[in-house]
Amino acid sequence: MGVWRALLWLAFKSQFRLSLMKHRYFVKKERQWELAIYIFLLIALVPVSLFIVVFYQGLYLGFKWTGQPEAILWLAAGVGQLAVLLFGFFHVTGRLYFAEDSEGLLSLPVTPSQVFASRMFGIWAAEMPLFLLLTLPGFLVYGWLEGVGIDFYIKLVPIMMILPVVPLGVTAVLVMLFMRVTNFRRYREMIHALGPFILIMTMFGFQIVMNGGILEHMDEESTAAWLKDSSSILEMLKNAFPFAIWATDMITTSFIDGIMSWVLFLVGSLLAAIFAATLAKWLYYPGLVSNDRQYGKRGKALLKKIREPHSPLRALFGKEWRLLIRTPAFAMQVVLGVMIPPMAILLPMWVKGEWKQNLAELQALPFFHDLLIWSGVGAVVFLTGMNGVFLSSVSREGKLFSYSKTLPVSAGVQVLAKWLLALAFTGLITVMIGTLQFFMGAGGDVLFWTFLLGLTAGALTTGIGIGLDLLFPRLDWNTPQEVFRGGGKGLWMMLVQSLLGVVFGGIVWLLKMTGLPELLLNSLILILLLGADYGIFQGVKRLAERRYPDIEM
Amino acid sequence: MIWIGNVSKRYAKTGPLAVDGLQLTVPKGEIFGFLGPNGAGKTTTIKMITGILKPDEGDIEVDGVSISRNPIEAKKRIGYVPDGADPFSRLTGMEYLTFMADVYRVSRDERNKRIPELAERFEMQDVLGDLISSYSRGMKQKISVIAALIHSPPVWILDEPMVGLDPKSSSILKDEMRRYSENGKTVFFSTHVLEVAERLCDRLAVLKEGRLVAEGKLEELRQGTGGQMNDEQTLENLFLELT
Repeated sequence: MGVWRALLWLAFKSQFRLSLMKHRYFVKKERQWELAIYIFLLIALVPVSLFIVVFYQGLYLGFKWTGQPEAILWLAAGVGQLAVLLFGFFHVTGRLYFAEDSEGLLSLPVTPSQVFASRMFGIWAAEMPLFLLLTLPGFLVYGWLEGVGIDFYIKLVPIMMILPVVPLGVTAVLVMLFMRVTNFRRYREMIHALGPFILIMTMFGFQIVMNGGILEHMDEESTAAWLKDSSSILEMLKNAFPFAIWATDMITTSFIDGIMSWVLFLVGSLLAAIFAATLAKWLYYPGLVSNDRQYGKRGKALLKKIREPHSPLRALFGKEWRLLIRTPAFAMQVVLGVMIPPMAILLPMWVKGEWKQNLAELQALPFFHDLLIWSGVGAVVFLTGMNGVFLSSVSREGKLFSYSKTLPVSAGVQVLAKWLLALAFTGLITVMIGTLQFFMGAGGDVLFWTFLLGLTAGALTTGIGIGLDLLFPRLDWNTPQEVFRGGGKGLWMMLVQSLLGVVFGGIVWLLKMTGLPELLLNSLILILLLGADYGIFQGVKRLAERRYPDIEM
Repeated sequence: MIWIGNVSKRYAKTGPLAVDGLQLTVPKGEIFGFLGPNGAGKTTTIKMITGILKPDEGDIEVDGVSISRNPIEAKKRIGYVPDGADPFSRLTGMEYLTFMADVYRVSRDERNKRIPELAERFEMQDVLGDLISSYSRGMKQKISVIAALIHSPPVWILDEPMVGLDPKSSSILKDEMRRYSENGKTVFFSTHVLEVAERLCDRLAVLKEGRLVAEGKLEELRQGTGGQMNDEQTLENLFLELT
């Protein structure tokens, strides 16, 4: 038991960085203000939880009306399991294979199954808050509104703890198989990056199926008719998430009546865990230990044609670009941040065939021209904010930040390279939005103004984001995924973006009221944005010169 | 030349001094060994020389340029090989070298001459097209050494450079360090391998708990003129007694 206890405790501490935080906040007494941010984030969860409770309450009333109030439990459990399945994919991949301490346990006299199980325990603990946030309110709403007894809440504890086991087990098996199969090639990292892409594409495929079939019934018939339909989401839940159904049976019936569900639930979960751990015996270590060392002739060939010298700025930009694109977790964050929102909005419209009608209605609006420009600019700024390149500019360097500090290049130039990289993505987003506008019938002037205003507004957002990351960098990450998590920077950025949106929206509206010609109005806004960009750039540059020497690790 | 003037560094506000009033001068053309037990402050000192850490007190000059007042100019004069060198692992060896050549503004002719020369000397020609993440520890150390020398700096600083190197690579590195000092440049390195320090260094310094406890040529240390030693001893005995 000693080995197990040691492994589980290590996994738990490593997962939540307990030792690091204890050392930082209580031994070295540094960055203690971060504790206030954590408390703030916890408080911020309260309104989110309330929103979820209200959402479940509405659903409960709907289900009650159809005579199936317990369906809220199936749904809540299914949603939680689905979330663990999807988010778990990235989490499991990161913790099992890309954590810096991944290979640290290989030499110890412990079995791969033990290492795997202990790591999965840490992942389970880390996934629990999200799972509880999504699932527990559904159960509590049911409990309160149905007036259930104390036994409901007692049974709730083991059910909540065990429900994530199966989706985590399934995810772990998929990840281990994937990593084992892709571990033989030179471009291992790139192949690994395809995994989440495939997952995202599957999600979109699922969305197309849902939109093309099941969900179209919603707007035609009543919710009740849809829910009772054999192809309803409840039927789907029964098939896809039997554990959600068993959990519902366990908690809504007496122990004796629900004994079969208890047996199926517990044995099924146990089997999933044992199966994954057993598979880990053969798959985990071979997938973890890289086998991609190459001794080719390309190196010698490269020596005959060494590339031309570049300026330090261009060299830094190239380095930033390569590190971003070649780190799957970073590349995914960037690409998904740009791809998901437009696809999530446009795909259902396209599948349902409503886009022609929607477009015709939009084109009929008297302010269609203005709408295209300003919604385009808004979309550029929104998607720039979503991709996270700028908000992780400094943090992405991790421990190599100290390396960058030894370079004979000013902090201002180093930060400028990061800014240009973020702007390159804003440029790509602008092109993407411009393409959409073109298909919506936009003329050259719309594309011209959207490009200029979008790029300058995006530059402002990225500049502020880089400043935030300079103030609160996260360099001590263990897995690349951690760069994008926590710290509240995303929250601050949303607040800043909202504020800027209100300010610039107000300015545009005021100028519109004065009846200025479009050319003059747009030019004024452009000059204003360029001025703000310049101001922010100078500010961020100075901040970088001041912060770089101070950031120690 | 490296000049360290009464430098102190503390990590936590109320914690102990990691480096305590260090005063040291390393002239041109010298190989200087920096010794001390774990946690003595060697890496902290090196990080202050290279501009990674800011001294709380004192100043450091590299080739006559202050690292705190004129950091960019000072850094141009340094080639640095960090402890457990693990450079940008998602770049290929060649991408890393050309990146370093760019930021140190190495001309086309110089890079065309130096990269093949150093790659051949350290037997890295065949793997320059591969990602650094696929390199062994020794190969990572060697690519870091090549990158540090690409601009032919007047001061070469190495933190535990022999770790991870096979005997042949270690020998090549030692030859390179000698060749470097013979050309009038400064080599400053920390090590735990006393045999290397004994054979290679012109002068040595021993650090303990952030303070300099001995400094001088090995003979001087042995004869008691370089610090607190008073008998003829091996460096190992000296080290054990001092620390």
